[in-house]
Amino acid sequence: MRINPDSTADLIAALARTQQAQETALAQISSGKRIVAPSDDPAGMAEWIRNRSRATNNDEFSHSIGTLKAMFHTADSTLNSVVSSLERAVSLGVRGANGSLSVENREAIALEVKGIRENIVGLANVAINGTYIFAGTETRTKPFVSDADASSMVRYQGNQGTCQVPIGESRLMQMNVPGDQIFAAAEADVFQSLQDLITSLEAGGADAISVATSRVRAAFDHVSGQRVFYGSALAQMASEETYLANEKLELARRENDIAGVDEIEAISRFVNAQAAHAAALEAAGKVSRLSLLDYIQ
Amino acid sequence: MSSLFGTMSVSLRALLAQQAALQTTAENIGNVNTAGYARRRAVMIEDDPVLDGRLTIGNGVHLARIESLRDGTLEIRIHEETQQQGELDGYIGAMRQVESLFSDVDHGIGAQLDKFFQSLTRLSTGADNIPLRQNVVTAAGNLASTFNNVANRLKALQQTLDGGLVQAASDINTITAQIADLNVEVSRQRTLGDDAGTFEDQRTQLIRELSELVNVSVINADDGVTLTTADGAALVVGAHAFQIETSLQSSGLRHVYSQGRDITSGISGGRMGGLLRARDAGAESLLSDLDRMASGVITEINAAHRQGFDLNGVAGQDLFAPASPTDSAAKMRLVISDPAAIAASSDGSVGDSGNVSRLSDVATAAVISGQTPLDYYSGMVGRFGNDLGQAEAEREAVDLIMRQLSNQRAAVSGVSLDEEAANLIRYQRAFEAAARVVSVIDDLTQTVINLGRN
Repeated sequence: MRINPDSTADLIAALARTQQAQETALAQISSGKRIVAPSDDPAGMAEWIRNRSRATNNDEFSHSIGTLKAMFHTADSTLNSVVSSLERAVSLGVRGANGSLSVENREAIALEVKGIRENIVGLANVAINGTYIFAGTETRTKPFVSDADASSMVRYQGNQGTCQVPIGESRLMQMNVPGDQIFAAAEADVFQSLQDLITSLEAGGADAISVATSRVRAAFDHVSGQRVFYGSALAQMASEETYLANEKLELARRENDIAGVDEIEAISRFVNAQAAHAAALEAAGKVSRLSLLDYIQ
Repeated sequence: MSSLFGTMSVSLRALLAQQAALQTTAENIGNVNTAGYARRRAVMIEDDPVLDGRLTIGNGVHLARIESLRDGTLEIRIHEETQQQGELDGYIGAMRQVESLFSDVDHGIGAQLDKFFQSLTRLSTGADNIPLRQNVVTAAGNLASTFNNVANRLKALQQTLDGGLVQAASDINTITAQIADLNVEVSRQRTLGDDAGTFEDQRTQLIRELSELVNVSVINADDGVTLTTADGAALVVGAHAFQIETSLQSSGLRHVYSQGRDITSGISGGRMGGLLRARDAGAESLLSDLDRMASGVITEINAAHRQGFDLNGVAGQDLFAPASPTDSAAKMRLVISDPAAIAASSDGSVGDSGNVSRLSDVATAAVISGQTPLDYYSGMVGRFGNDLGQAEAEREAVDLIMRQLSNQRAAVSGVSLDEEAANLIRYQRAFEAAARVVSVIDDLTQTVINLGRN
């Protein structure tokens, strides 16, 4: 049978193939990626996009946790100061209930309690970057203001709103506790109890002072109890953070599985392609050199 | 009765035949690198014998014809594969140009969508925070402009392909005119009883070039080949070539016409077929997927946004301009530029982020053909990659088949220099021998003439 006398086309095709294989391997090695375009691995590309989206979410959840942690630390340490102040007010109330105190002494104590109240109002109005953290969702309105018409002398201007922040896939974290829930709870109203203590100290009467002091103690207990929210929220977020960190590693590993190149495999592929290319070149050089025309005279 | 002069004329015919064979060899050698050339062979046959009484005496040789060695079925297969190869080349070349739009997981539409929802998540940590609101505005703007950019690049590709279509139509017209001319030459040569190999070679090569451009049916008729498109529109009939033309449609894209009839849908092969597939299937389906996605995102985000209140307690407006019924991806536009106008609050209080979660929920809701926006996008990229990957696999297969067919064709029709070198010697020797016979007859004739001298 007659064969194709011209092997040039085959040689060129073989050279193009080996060159293409070299270039593909080289591109993969230098980019570190197995998938350069969707057609390289359509399903892999689609999964890569979804995986990348989860990684972006993961980063954002971590970022949210960081923001919330800073906020909760501020809130918690603020409430810690409030609790210390109330503790001081309770001990002042206990001292004021002592019947042997002079009017001047009681008035001095009342004055100190007033100072404590001002201090606590200031603490309750704590803001981060202009955002009041105890104002419900009226975060741009100073939540606690002096008001002579109010029985507690302090009026709450915030609302009862709370916000939720996503900190994981379908995991929400309450971001705030409304100020009235902390400072103006029924039977444990911080400012009412302090006002009652001030009034009773100014009026005198050990029993009334004792009753007022016990109310301040109730407020102290309540605010201490509210701190539990921040403590448990911080603990929850710590565990969520661990989970997110593990997930982040897992997602990065998955991304590498999907799109990353196996360097050793790619390098050996490159070396093989190079050898094949050299062999094809050699064959091309030999074949074209042989001709009957060289042998006949 | 045989005579010296009779023998002389036998030798002369032998000389002529060998010389013609040598010329055929020379032509083969000369055309060793000519595309579409089929090697020729001088066919010699024995002359009718002369009867001398009861004897039959051979009367030498004469050159019957010069034939081209060609396998017709192989040529048809090559034309078919060439059409497919041209189609795949056109399609792949076009789609490769836009593949990079979907290759970048860091900056593509998927990434911008992620960044938009990411900015919303971040806003939920401080709904009253202007920089965080600005982030949302920026991310929404980037999402819209990325949609615009990708859609516009696809539209630009369609326009480029349209330009390619015009060029292909003009190339086709040039070739069909040449084929019609060759039809005339071939039938003239045939009528004269001459070998039309040269013209047939050229015509075969032109049909092959035409096959690279468009899918044609080849019918061999008495008055030359008839070429038609798949749906029967005539391109060449005998001596007549019928021009095709492209005409701009209201869609802004061109269709192909033959004698006033729209033949676009019948063009499925050759580069023209590939360009049309890339334009009307490839780029168009990407565009309609993008439009559906953009329209879904716009509608859902706007609906959620309108349920909230902005930083001033005003009810939320549309975040994006309402989805346009056509070209929603190319026309996607952010209408809010004031960060305070982001409707984050669900009750009007500045610090509430209830509506932010409503907006964020769009990310996980099955809002576009029953899928989340990102799943829809990743599916669309997957489909695109799949189509292109499949076309590339097909092209590899077609390339392989083409190499085999070309090898087979060359095995029949290709010029082998070794073979020609051998033939050269063969015909040279035969020529020399015939010339020798002439010279011997000449001597004999001398002898006869000198018979009565002494």
